Parts: sequence; structure tokens; C-alpha cells
Amino acid sequence: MRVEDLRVWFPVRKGIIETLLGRVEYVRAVDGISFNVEKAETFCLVGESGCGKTTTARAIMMLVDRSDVKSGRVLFRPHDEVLEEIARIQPNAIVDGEYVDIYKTRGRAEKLIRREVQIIFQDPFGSINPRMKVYDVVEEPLVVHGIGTREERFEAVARALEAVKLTPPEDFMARYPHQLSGGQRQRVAIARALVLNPSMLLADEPVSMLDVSIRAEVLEVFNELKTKRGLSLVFITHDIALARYICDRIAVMYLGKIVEVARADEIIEKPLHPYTRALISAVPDVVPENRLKLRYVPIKGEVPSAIRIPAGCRFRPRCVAYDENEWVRGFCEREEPGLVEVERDHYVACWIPIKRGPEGSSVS
Amino acid sequence: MLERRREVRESLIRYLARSLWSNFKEVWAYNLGKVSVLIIGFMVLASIYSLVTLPPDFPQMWRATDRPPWTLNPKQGYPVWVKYLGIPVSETVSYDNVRLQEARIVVPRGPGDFPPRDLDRILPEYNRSLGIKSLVPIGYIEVYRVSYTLTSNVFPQDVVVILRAKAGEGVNLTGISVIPMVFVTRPDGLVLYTFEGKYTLERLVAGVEVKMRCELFATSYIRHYGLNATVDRVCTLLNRPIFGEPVDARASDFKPVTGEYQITLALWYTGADPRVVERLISKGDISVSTSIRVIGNSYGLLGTDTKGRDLFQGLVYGFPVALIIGFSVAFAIVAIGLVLGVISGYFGGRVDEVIQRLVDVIVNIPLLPLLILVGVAIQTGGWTGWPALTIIMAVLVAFSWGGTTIIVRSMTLSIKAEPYVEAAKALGASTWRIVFRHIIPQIVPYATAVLVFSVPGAIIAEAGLSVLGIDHGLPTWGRILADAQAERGVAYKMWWWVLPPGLMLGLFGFAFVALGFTLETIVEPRLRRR
Amino acid sequence: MPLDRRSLRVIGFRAITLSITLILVLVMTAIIVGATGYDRVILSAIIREEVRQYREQLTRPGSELPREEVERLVAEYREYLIRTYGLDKPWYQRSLSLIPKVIVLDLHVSQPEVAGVVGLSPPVKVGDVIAVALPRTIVMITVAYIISALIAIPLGPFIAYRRGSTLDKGVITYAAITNAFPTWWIAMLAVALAGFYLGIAPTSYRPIAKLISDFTSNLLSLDVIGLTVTFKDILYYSYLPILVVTFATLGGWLYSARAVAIRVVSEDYVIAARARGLSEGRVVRRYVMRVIAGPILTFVILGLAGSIGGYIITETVFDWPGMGLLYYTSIATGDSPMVLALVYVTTLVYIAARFILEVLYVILDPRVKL
Repeated sequence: MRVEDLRVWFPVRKGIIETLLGRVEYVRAVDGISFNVEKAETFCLVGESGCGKTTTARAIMMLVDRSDVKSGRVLFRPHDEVLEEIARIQPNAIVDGEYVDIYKTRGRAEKLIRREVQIIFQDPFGSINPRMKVYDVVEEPLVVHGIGTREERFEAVARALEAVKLTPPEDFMARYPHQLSGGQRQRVAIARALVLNPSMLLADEPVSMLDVSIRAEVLEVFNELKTKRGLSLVFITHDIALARYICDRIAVMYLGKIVEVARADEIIEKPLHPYTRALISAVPDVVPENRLKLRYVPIKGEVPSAIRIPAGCRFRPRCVAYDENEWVRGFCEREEPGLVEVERDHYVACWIPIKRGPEGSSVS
Repeated sequence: MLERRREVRESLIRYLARSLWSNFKEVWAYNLGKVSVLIIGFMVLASIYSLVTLPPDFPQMWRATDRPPWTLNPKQGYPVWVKYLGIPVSETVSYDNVRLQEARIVVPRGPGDFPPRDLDRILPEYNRSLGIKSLVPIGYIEVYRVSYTLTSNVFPQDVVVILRAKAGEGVNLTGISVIPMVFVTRPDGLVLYTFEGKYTLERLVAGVEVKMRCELFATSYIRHYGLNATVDRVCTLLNRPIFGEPVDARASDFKPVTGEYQITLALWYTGADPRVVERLISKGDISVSTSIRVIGNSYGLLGTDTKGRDLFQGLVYGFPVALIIGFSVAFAIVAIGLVLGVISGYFGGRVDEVIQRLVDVIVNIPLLPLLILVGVAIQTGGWTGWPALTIIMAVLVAFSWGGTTIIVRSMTLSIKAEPYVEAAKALGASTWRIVFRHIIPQIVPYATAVLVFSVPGAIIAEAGLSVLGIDHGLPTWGRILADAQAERGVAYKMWWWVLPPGLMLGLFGFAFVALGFTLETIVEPRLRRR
Repeated sequence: MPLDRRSLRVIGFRAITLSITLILVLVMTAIIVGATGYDRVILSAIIREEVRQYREQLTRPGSELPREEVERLVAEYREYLIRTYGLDKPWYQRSLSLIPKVIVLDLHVSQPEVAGVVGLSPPVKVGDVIAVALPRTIVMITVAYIISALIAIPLGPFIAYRRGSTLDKGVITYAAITNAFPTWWIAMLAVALAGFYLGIAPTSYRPIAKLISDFTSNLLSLDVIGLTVTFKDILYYSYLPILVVTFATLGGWLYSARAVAIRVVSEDYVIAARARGLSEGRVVRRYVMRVIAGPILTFVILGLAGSIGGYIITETVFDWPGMGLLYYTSIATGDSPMVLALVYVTTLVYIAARFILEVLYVILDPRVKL
């Protein structure tokens, strides 16, 4: 999948008069991001709350109003038979012969794409209709897409529940969500996503609302999916430590933009962007006695509003490196840095490594 | 595997039955719920009873106050059971198809035998009675007798004899007439000649209702008691001289004579050879059925109104009407509110704006004046009965859906923001599916509570309109109260007229509000105690 | 209290909505009376009245017109009126012309009984009759409401502090009963019991009309003895209606006052006040009653607005010569211009009260949004 220069801006609702005068302001939730996710790769989007990672996921899932997508496109490579089908019914959505521009799909083509990309939401309590039994929840995607006979659907649901280790599946099918634990619910949500056999899965903070004790069981399911199914996974989290555990590559987002992308180990061991460094140093230490020590987190201030994004580098008001490196201030104030590959497969959007080279930056 | 699949997926009907049953059990768990279910169950049973026992044209019957059965009932009659409360009342007794006591051909046996002695044998009342008898029955005579006991010092209101002839096919009735004669034998031995008349058999086939006449016996009556009063004075109220004796010589008042009365009806067939008549009757080619009704001053379970209408029947008829009106109006209001609320909340935008502004206007319109106007207008237009009521109810619905729409809209908005709706969208569910599978099922429990709450509204409004004088012609609780209001001077002294319909209205309202409260408590877990 | 621009905008918006509502009601009225042929009845009544006046004018002593000439002129005038009012046209062209006449209440009472309700006799304009009847209705209900409010506001917190007690349950039951039974039926029972069975109250309340005018004239002539006598009579004629309306409203108000009080007494600042050692009575007076007064005030105003509509049935039951009896009599006698005027005035009063309430909301609660 390729995301190219995606911008999602939500208008801020004002009174009737302001609207008439055309004075519309926007929340720039996602402000021009690009990345690609390879087949069978696990890609992480990391950032603090409000940085636009969830909006990115929603945009990829076509859950935001299309009029709010101000620029960019999301290109997706589905299974071959789906690609052929879309090429037949909506040829204008095909890009480079192998990608589908999802925002150009309509009607049946859109539905086909939705079959290919599934999402798991953060809140396992809210994302399952409380009035539906587990069986109906997991079966719903099959019904929506008209797949299989009743018997075949039953088999598919049973397989999906087994895949998420809700075994034996028959025990769970007739239950209502309130009879399940949070971890079990989240696994039902995963089963619902898997039952369509998608080629890509988005997971929006799937474990953040679960108790620490049951996170492991859900993460185990994800790990197994990665290794066994070979599907692409976009994993969204605010927890960079978790991202390292599960991801192949990590992208760090700040205020609607990706500021750094690299392989997981690389980015943890050699962070180039000051924000990434701050995120890493905020991770609690594993050694218990170190936890009570006051540690230095190299960041200041609060996240600015996404309505009024600072000019120049958007991280500048909070940047410790900006304070420390007088030479770079001119760049930071004048222009927003783009993502530049400063090392092999390591992209960063900060003037310091861009201008000085990666070595210089990591030293400071 | 397949069997297990069936266990998981049950049929829709079983599902509905099961959820209905579990809801019922939940409602039953609350005291308030129990009470409301019992009352509503009682009302449903009463409706079934009314539909089974009352004729389909009961509304027309109710309006025809100048016709039987109402003319045969006491006016302002007490409920029969008040006698157990120690209130003295006279009973209304109907003797239907009175058995023939004697029948024979009466003819003079010789030249001196006039009036014939045979007549005295079968109808001794003829010679013993007070009254001017212009005819001597000669011919075929049937005699019927019934006895009525007056236990308390209260005058019965009237005595009515109903005659109905039946003729076999091809029987020539021409010429044959029947002269009924009625005698009342009182406990004090006095016999009053109270009726004579002449009807052709053709006339009797249609049925005839004969009422007592005072002039027949009045003069002899005055002489008997040695009264110093005119016939008019004695006959002001017919039932008094028959069932009572004058308290003074001026007959300023009467006092009832208690004891056993005997009412004698003689049918004298004329206009044909008595033997021919006798043969026709014995072959069954002609038969006259006779009913005698002593109209006391009490009748039925709930008494009668000033026109003799049985208030129990009126009250019972009110049950199905109240339920039908209540449920259909409530259902329509909730259905409109649900549809518009979901559309408004889910689709938003311009549709939402239009619906919202419409609601703004609707909720600000005072309903009653508008209903009055519509009521008066359709009354002027000559509408009555169900069509008139339907129009009034339609107007009621048209201006009542605002509140429900507001609630449903805000609920839709909050459900729409639920992640599971987003999840359904993400997996490609159509708008229809989301609305019907994910949004409406969440609203239905609330909508049910709203529906239950709004059931009494319509019938209360209808009752109010009726009392204000808008007459749709159906016997409803409101209509009965409106009739009472129209004759307030008399009716307000008749508690059995004013009390029961109002109690039913209140009970109806209470039951549904109680059920609504219970349902609300069940569907709103936050309100649940403990 | 100064109003900021936003509040003014909110109020303006409400004003527009309510004006649209009023216009809509009028148009609907026109359609209802037009489509059902009811306006034909109304217009015929108007024409009859105008022709009658015209004839009176022509035959006034002093004018020496011959009979035939008068008849001819009257017939001509009638024809002219039929054309002007559009009785010869289809209803949709005709009934809209009725709206302006209704708005300015330029209609005449067509039945003498209707004018008789307020002690007037025709020819009289509908507006004049309503002007007499409306205050009588408002007075009766206002007195009842004031009594109810005076009981409910102090009693609400008292009950709230005794939640679950017999008194509390009693109040809930009382509220449930008065909520279930129509007020006008309770009125029927009251008239039957107090008036007809016990004889301690009047059975018809029509004389109140004369008593009120006597009272006013006595007041103007400063006749103290007459004043006391008429006042006593007025009391005799009005105590039962006021008692019934109070009885019917009190249940709901007590329930609401209790509900609000329960919410307030569990608020932190009230608990804190109790914890500081303030007595229950003091807390109730200083914190709780103030909060309760708001909803009760809303009840009073909305109730008064609705009362013109809501109590007309109750009034009818009492034969109280106010708006209710006016409605009843004009429906019964078929005085169509009066029916139309009453519907209009009732709607107008209701909408006006709604507006006053909206403005009060905005002034009292700055959080009210569009």
C-alpha cells in the first residue's frame, strides 16, 4: 500500500454567519503524509494522542468524509482477482496497473476494497454491538459481502474464532459481548476482521485499553497472524516500546506529519528526530529501581492546536534541539523540513540531520 | 457441526417470542410493572368481552335513544347492586316469551250468557277490574300472567308489553286482528284495567310495544278511593296510581304498595272464525310471542342514563375504542418520530436542518385549539363515527411527533458515534444495514417506552374534546362524560354515570404510565437500583 | 441584565421561529376551515350580521324609504358581500381572505348565547367578548398556581430530605393519581360532591360574571359594605374551582420540586454547607429553594400559557364564564366566527408565553444554545 501526500482537514463548525462569509477554519488532523507498506510487512505509526494517527487509519479505511480529504491518495494493491474485478467495473481507479486508488472507487468497487482492508479499533467495548451475539458479529462481514452459504459462513466463523484462540468456537458463538472479557472481545474484533481474509489489517491501538495482564494474549495473536498469514499490518500505537516489539518499520508522527521513518531497531537505537528521542526517553525503564529516578525527557511545552500550526518546523516551539543548536534556527523558522533519506531506509524531517548529516545529529 | 449451527442461530419467531417473554418477566419483577400488566390485561379482556357481546352496530344503537332497548330501560336507573348497600330500589324484570297460561274460545252459551261465564273462568280480572271496558271479548282468547314482587317503597317506572307475531309461510293473515288487554292485580286486591288496543296481525309481525294507559281506569280509581281530584291530577305520573295509593283525598302524592303484583295479558283474536284461529294457532301457522317488562328504577351493573341507555354497555364499549385509538396514535407518533429522528440524526445536513426547523414549529403549536377547530369543522361537515374520530386522531398525530423526533435524533447521533457503527462501515456495511441492524435495534427499547407512555394521550384528548361538545358519535368514555356534562343538573347526582368512565380513563392512563416507567427503568440500566 | 449579542441572536431566532409557527397555524386554520366547507358557515354568519346592520340603518326612524326599496337595497348589498367574501368562489381563493380579519379580530359574534357568557348582547365584536373572558380565566388559574407554588417550593426540599419515607411515597402516589386523571374529571367529581351531594358549593358558576362586575363598580364607588358582600360571594363562587386546579397541579409540582431538590441536596456545595454546621432549614432556604424556584417558575409560565388551552375543559365543567365556557358555547351554538377567533387568540397567547419563557431562559441561563 502506498499513501501519498495525504491531507485530512476537518472544518471547524462555526455560526451560520461565518459559514456564509466563507471564513472557515480547519483542524489539520493529517497534514501531508506519505508512506508505503510492503506485503507481509508490519508497519507502525507512533505518536502521542492527537497527532493524527487515528485519522490516518480512518482515512485509509475511507471512514472520513471524502470532502475532508484535501489532497493525496491512497493506493492499495489487493488480491489479483479483486484487482481484475475492479479493473473491469471501474478502470479509472486503477493506477500503474497494480494499484487501486481507493478514493476513486465507488459502489461495488468500494465494497470490494473494503473486503481487502480491515480495521481493529482501540475500544473493544464499543466496537462490538452489545446487542449482537459473537456469532452474528463475526458473521456480519460475510453477510455484508454476500459470501458463502449459511453453512460455509458457519465454518468460516468457526475458523476465524479458532485463529484468534477463542476455542472451542462453539462455546463463544452464542455469547453476548458483555459475557466476555476485554481481551476476548478484542479477539472477537480481530476474528471479525480476519473472517474476510483481507490482504491488509489496520490495528488502531488494539491493546491500549486492555489491562496489561491480558495485552500479551492479544499481541500473541497479532504475532501469529504476521508469521502465518503473511498479511500486511498497519499497527498504530502511542507506545514506542510496543511498536519495537511488534513492528518491522516504525513511522513517528507529530501534529499531522510523519517526522521519522526507519526500521524498528534502527529508530530505537539511533533516533534522529528530537521528537523521536523524546518519545523513547519517555518509555519507563524495565529496571524497577530506575523508575523512581527523575529522568530527563528532552521536550518542552504542550502540543499546539491542530488549527493553528506553527510556521516553519511545526515541532520548533517544543524542540530542545532548536534551543541548543543556534546555527539551525534560521532553517527551522523559515521552512518546514521534508522527509529526507539521511541514511539507507532512514528518513527524517529535521533540519539538523538534514543539514549536518546523521552522525552530527545523534551526537548532540 | 450443522446441529450446533442451528443452536446458535434460532428462528426469528422464536427469538421474538423469547425476548418478549424475557421482557415480560423483567416487567413482572417490578411491583409497578405487575400492577400495570394486570390492569392492561384486564382491559384487553374487557375489550374482547365487549367485541363478543355487543352488536357490531352498537354505536348506531347507542345514538338511537328513542328506540329499544333503551326505551325499555329505566331512566336514571340505579345499578342493581346498590340494594346491597341498603338503597331501596325497584327491580327491572323482563319476562321474555311468557308461557301461555290458558286459551279457549269464549262464546255465549245461551241468550242470557252475556258477558259469557267462560270469560269469567279464564279471565276473572275482566269483571273485577276498575276501568272502562268498551269491548266484551268474544272469540279465541289467550291469557298470560306474570307476577312481580315490589319489595321496597320505590315506584317501578313503567310496565311494557311487547308483542311479536310470527306467521307460517303462505298463511293468509288478512282480516285477523289481535286485541291485547292488560290488567294489573295489586297486592291489596285492586285490579286495574290498564290497556286495550287493536292490531292487525301484519302489524304485529313487525313487533308492537304497548304502554299502560291511565285514562282507562282513572275515573273508577277516583271513585274507588273517593278522591277529590281530576283525572289529570291522578294521571300526571302513570306509574304512581298503578303501583301506589293516594296519600290523601286530593291525590297530592302516592305511596307505593309493596307485595306481589300480577300482570295479566289477554290476547283476543278477532276478525275470523275463532275455530279457524284456533286451528291456525295449534298448527303453529300463527304464533304471537309476548314479553312483559316491569321497568323498575334499577338496571344493569352500572345503571342507566337519563335516556335509559345501559351505562355498563357504554363503558365496556369504551375499552376496545380506547385501546385501538391509544395504540394506533401512539404507534403512528413513535413511527414518525423514529423514522424522522433517525434520518435527521444519521444523515444530517440539509435534511436534518429541515426536520429540525419543522420540529421547532410543531412543538410550539398548542394542540387543543387546533383539535377543537378540526373537530368543529368535521362536525359541520357532517362527519361522524370512526371517520370523524380518525381525522381527529390524524391531526393529533400530525402535531405530536416532535418530541419523539428530538429524542430519537439525539440517540441516533450518539449511537452513530459508537465505534461499532464505524466498524460496520469499515467492513462495507450499507447504510440500510447500519440503520436497521445497528442503530434502530438500540433505539427500539426506548421507542417502546415512549410508545407506551403516549398510549393514554389520545384517549384523554378525545375525552376532553367530547366534553367540550365535539360529538363524533361513538360511545367512548369521554362521550359518556360529555353526555353527563350536557345534563349536569341531573347527571351530577348520578354517581354511577360520572364516576366509572373517569375512573377508567384514569386507570388507563395510570397503567400505561406505570408500564412506561417500568420499561424505562429496564432499558436504562443507569436508572436501575442496586 | 445586559444582553450580549449572542443572546440577542438566540432570542431573535426564537422570535422568528415562533412567528413562523403563528403564521403556519393561521394558514393551517384557513385550510382546515376552507377544505371542510366550514368557512362557508363562518362567512355566511358574517354576511348575515352585516346585512342585519345595513337593514337597521336603512329602516332607522327618519329615513323614509319604501319597503320595496329597502328590500332591493338589502338584496343588492347581500350580493355585493357574497362577491366580496368570495362565497361564489372555490374555497382556496376565499378562505385566505379570512386570515386578515382574524388577525385583527374584526369579526362579530353571531349567537346571542355566546355574548351572554360574558354578560353582553349582540351586536358585539369577538375581541370585546374575549377581552372580558380571558382575564377571568387567567385570574382563576393564577391564584391556583400561586397557592400551588407557595406549597410546592418549601415542601419540595422537606420531602427530598425524607426520601423513601411514607410522606415521600404518599407524594409520589398523589402525583401519579393527579397525573392519570384528567383535571376536568376531578372537577366533575368536585362539583358533584360539593355542589350536588353536599350542597356546600354552587352547582353553576355563571353568577360570578355579575359578581365580578359588581365588585369592580363597588370598588370604584368605594362602597365598603357592598365590597365585603361581593367579595364573600366571589369567594363562595371561586373556592371550588381554585381548590380543584390547585389539587390537580400540586401533585406534579411537588414531584418535580422533590426531584430537583434531591439533585440539589446531593450536590457537593449543599453537603458542604450542612457539614459546616448550617441547619437544615437554613440550607434549604439559602441553597435549595432558589434552585427549585426556577423550574417552578417555568411551570407557572408554561402552565399559564397552556392554561388558556389546558383548562378550558375544566372551566366548562364548572360553567365558569371564562375562555372555556366561551369555547363550549360557541361550539354548541355554532358561532363559527367566535370559534375561529378563540383558536387564534389561544394560539397567540400560548406562543407569546413560549417566547417570554425563551427570553427568560436566555437571561437566566447563559448556556442556552441555538
